[in-house]
Amino acid sequence: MCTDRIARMRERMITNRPAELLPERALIVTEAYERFAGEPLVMKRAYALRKILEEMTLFIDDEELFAGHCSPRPRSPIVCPELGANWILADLDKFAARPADAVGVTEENKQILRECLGKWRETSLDGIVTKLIPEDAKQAIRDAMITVGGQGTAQGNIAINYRKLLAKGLRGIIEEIDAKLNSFSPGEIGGTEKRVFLKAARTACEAVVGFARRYADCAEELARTCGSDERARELTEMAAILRRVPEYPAETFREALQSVWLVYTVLHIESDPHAILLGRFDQYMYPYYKRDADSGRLSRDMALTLLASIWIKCTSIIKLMDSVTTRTFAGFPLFQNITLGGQSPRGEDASNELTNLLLEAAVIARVPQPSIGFRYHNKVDSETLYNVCATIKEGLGYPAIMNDSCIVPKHILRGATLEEARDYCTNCVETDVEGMTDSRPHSGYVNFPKCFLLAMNDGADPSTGDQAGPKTGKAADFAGFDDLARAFEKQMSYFIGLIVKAYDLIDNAHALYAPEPFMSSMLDDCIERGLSRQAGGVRYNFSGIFGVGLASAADSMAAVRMLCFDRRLVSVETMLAALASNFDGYEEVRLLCERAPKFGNDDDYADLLARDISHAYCKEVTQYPCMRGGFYIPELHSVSTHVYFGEMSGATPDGRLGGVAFSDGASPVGGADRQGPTAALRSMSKIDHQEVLQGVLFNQKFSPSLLETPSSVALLGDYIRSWCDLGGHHIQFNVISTQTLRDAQKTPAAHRDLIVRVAGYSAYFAELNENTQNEIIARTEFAEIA
Amino acid sequence: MAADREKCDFCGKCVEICPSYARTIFGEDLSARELFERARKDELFWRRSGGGVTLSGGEILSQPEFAIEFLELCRDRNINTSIETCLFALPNIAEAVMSRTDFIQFDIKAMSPELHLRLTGAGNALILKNAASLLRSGRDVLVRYPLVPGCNDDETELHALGKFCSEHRPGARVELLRYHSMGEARYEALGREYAAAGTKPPEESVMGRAAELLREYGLDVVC
Repeated sequence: MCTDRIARMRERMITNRPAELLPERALIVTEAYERFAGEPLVMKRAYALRKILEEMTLFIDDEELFAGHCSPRPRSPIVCPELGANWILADLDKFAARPADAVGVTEENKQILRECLGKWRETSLDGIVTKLIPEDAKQAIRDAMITVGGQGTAQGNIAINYRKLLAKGLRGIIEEIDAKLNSFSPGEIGGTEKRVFLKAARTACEAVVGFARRYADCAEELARTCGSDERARELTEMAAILRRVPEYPAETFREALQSVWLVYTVLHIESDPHAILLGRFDQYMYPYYKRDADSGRLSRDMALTLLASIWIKCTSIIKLMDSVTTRTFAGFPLFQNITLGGQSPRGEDASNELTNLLLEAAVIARVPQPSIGFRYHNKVDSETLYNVCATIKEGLGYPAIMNDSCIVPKHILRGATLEEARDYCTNCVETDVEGMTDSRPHSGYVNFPKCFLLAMNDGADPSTGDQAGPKTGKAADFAGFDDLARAFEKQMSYFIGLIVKAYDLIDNAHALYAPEPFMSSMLDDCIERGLSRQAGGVRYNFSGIFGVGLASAADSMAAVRMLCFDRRLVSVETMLAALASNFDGYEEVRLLCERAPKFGNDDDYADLLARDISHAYCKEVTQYPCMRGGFYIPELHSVSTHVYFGEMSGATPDGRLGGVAFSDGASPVGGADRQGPTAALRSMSKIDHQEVLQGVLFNQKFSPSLLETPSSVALLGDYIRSWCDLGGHHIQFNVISTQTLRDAQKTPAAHRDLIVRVAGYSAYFAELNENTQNEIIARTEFAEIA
Repeated sequence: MAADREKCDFCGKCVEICPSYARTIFGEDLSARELFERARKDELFWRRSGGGVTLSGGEILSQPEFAIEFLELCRDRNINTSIETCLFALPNIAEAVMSRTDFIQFDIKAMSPELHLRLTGAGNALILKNAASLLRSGRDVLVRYPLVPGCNDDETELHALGKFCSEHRPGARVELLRYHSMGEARYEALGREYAAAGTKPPEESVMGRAAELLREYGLDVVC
C-alpha cells in the first residue's frame, strides 16, 4: 500500500515530469531589488525572499503528505539573477538542447528571461567575480591547472541546526534575534551592521511563517474542492500542521517532518545552493518518531510512507547548472545527504529504530537522492550494519560508509569540542559538525598529474610547450628523483596559492553581495555574532581545496622514477618527447610506462609516492587562513573534475593517453589495481587519512553476484569493519551494472579490477571467456529487474 | 598472436611487454615462511570475518612437506586453516597433512572405478579408502561432488555416493558443485584442448533433483 502510493508519487513528480525552466523567481527578485534599491544589501536580500514567499505560485500535488516546493512545478529549477545572470544568459539557448540534463524553456519564457537577466549583467555575483579574479589565476583556470568555485552560484555543503528549529520553532529564533537587537548599548558603533543583519534575519524568518500560512490556506482550499473525503481529511490535517510549524516547536513526527521540509525548501528558494544537507536525520527526528510510535498514533506503514515521500520530494528539486558542468555531473545531482548511525555526543551507539526505517524507506523510494552516509564506529550494532549492507546490495549507490575513528579526531583538530566532534554529519565525503560549520568544499580543485608534467619540464606543458607554471628546473638536469619530487611540490604549491588568492576574493564577494539572512539565522552562532554566514558568523569556518588525480600522479611519478632514474631504461628527453607526441611513434615507451608499478596493488614503490604527494599537499593547504576565520583544509576527492582535467591534459608517464580521464578521488586508476580488493585497501590505507581534514573518497566496484546470500551480505559488514580498522575515512560501493559489464567485454584493459562471482568462485571478469561473461551479464540483468 | 610453445624457455620477456596482459607466467617459487608472510597481509580481513587460510592446490597432498610446514606456522598463531584436496595420496601422507588442519574439503568425482578412470585417468580406490577413514574420523569435513552433465550425473553414481557417505558418516555434509566453464579460458591461454567444450552448466532443476536424491540418504546437502 505504502509502496504503491510512493510509486505513484515518483511517477507524477519525477519519472513523468520533464524539467522546465520558469522565470517566476527571477522576475520577483528583480522587482524587489528595484523597489528596495536604497536598502542595505542584506536587507534587500531579505525583502526579496519575503516577496518570493508572498507571491510565488503554490501547489500541492495529488497524494502529497507534505507541503513545500521551490517553484511552481516539480522539477522546475529556479533562476537566481542576482547570482548567475551572465552564465544563464549565455546558456539560455543550450538548456533544452544539451545531451545530459536537458531543461526545457519555452520561447516566450526565454524572451522574458533575456529581458530580466539583461538588467543584471553588471550587478550579478558572476559579473562582479569575473572582474575580481587575478590574471594569473585566470590563466591557470584556462590551462586546467585549477578550478575556482563559487563564481556564479551560492555554495552549499551545509547543514542547519535542525534540532534547534524543531525545539524552538521560528518564533523562538525570532525571540532570540529580538533579544540580541535589544542588547546593543547606545552608541555601540560596531552594532550598525549587525543590527541591519539581524533585522534582515528577522524579516526572513517572519516571511517563512507567512509562507507556511499561505500553504495552509492552499491545503484548506484543496480540501474543499478535491472531491474525496479521505484526501480532504489529509489536507485538513496538513493545513492544521502548517499553522503550527515551522513557527512553533514540533510536537509530532509529522509536524517535525513538515517543519524541516518547509524550511529546507526555503533554503533552496533563498539562494539555490547545491548540497543542503539533511544532517543526522535519525537523531533529531527520533524523539518525535518514538513518542508517536509508542503511543500508537503512528503505524509502521505510515512512518515508511512519510519518510519515502521525503525522498521523492528531495529528488524532485533540481538545480540549474551550466552546460559544461552537466557534461560531468549528469543526472541532476543536488548532493543532498542524510547521515545515519554514528555515536551520540557521549560516545554511545546512536543508531535506533528510525535508522533502520530510513534504510527501508530509501529502498521503497528508489530515487537517487538524498544519498545516505552511514557512520561506522566500533560499537556499531551488528544488525544495523547488516541492514546497511543489505541496502548497499540494492544498487542505489548508497549508503556510503564514514569511519568515526578517523573522522571524530579530525573535528577536534579543526577546533571542535569532543561532544561536537561526535555530532558530525556528512556531505558526500566531507563531514561537518551539524548546524555550526561552513566548510566550503569546492573552493578550488588542483590538477595533480599536470603539476607533475610541469615539474618534468621546467614549468612548461610538455604537450603544448606553454609556460604554465613557475620555472623549477629541467628533470634531465636533476641529480636524482628526489629533486623531481621537490619540483613537483613547488608546482603544486604555486597552484594552491593561486586558488587561495582567487577564492579569498570570491569569498569576500559573497559576504558583500550574496549574504543569506534566512540560512544564517538557522546556523550557530550567526545571531549571537550578528553576522551572516558569508561574513563569518558561523562557529567553524573553512575553505576546502580538492586534490585531483592522486593515483594518476603517483603512477606517473612511479614510472618516471623507475624508467628514467632507477633503471635508466628511458631518458627524460625521450620520455618528454613521447609525452609531447601523445606516445605516437613511442609505443615501446608507452608499454614500459604501462607496466611500471601502479598505486593500488600493495606495492610500496607506487603507494608511498601517493602517500608523499598527499602529505605535501595537506601541509601546503592547511597553512592558509581563510577569509571568514578558520583555515583552508585539504580533500582527496574529484567529484567529476578528474574527467574534465583529464580531457584538458596531455599524455602522462603512467601510459595514459592525452584526454583520458584521471583517477577518481583517491582510488587507484581504473583497472590498475590487479591484486584484489584487499590489496587496494592496503594501498589506500598508506595514505594518512587523518591529516586529510576534509576527507578522502574511495570507490570500490562490486558485482551484485557477490552478495547473493545473507552470509555474504554479513561478510560485506566484516569487510567494512576491516577497512575502518585500517583507518580509512570513507568507502562506497558501486554496484556494477550490465552496462559496465558490456563495456568491460569490449575494453577489458580498462576493467581489469572487476571481480564477479561465478558459481562458488570469484574471478576477474576480464579473464573469463565470452560465454561465461555472457552468463554473468544475464544474471546481473536478472538481478537488476528483480 | 602466435606462439611456438615447444621453443619456450620461460624467459618471461613476452610477459613483460604484452600490453593486454594476454601472457602470464602462473606460479612462483616461495618458501612456506614466505607464503605465510603473504597470507598474513590479509590477516586483518579474515580475522574480522572469522575466516582463515585455505590451501587449495594444485593438489596439496602432492607437496606434503611444504603443506605441513605452512599449516604448522598457522597453527602456532592460532590461525584457522582449511585444505581442498582430491585425496589421491598414500594414507600416511594424507593423514600427516590432514591432522594439521581444521577443515578438510575433498571432492569425489565418480564412484564407479571405471568411470573415474575414464574421466580422470586414474582409479579411485585410494581416494575412497582415504575418504572412508576421514569420514569415520569425526574431523570437520565437506564432501564435494562436481556435477558435470553427461559425465557423472546419472542416478547410479549419485546413489552410490549417497550410500558411501551415509555409511561412513551418517548425516555427512555434501556440497553439489554446479559445473561451470571458468576453466575454459585458462585452457585456451595454455593452448590446450578443452575436453568439456560445449558442456553447459546443469539446470537448476537437475541440481535440485540430485540434491533430493542425496537427501534421501539422510545427508546434509548444500548446492
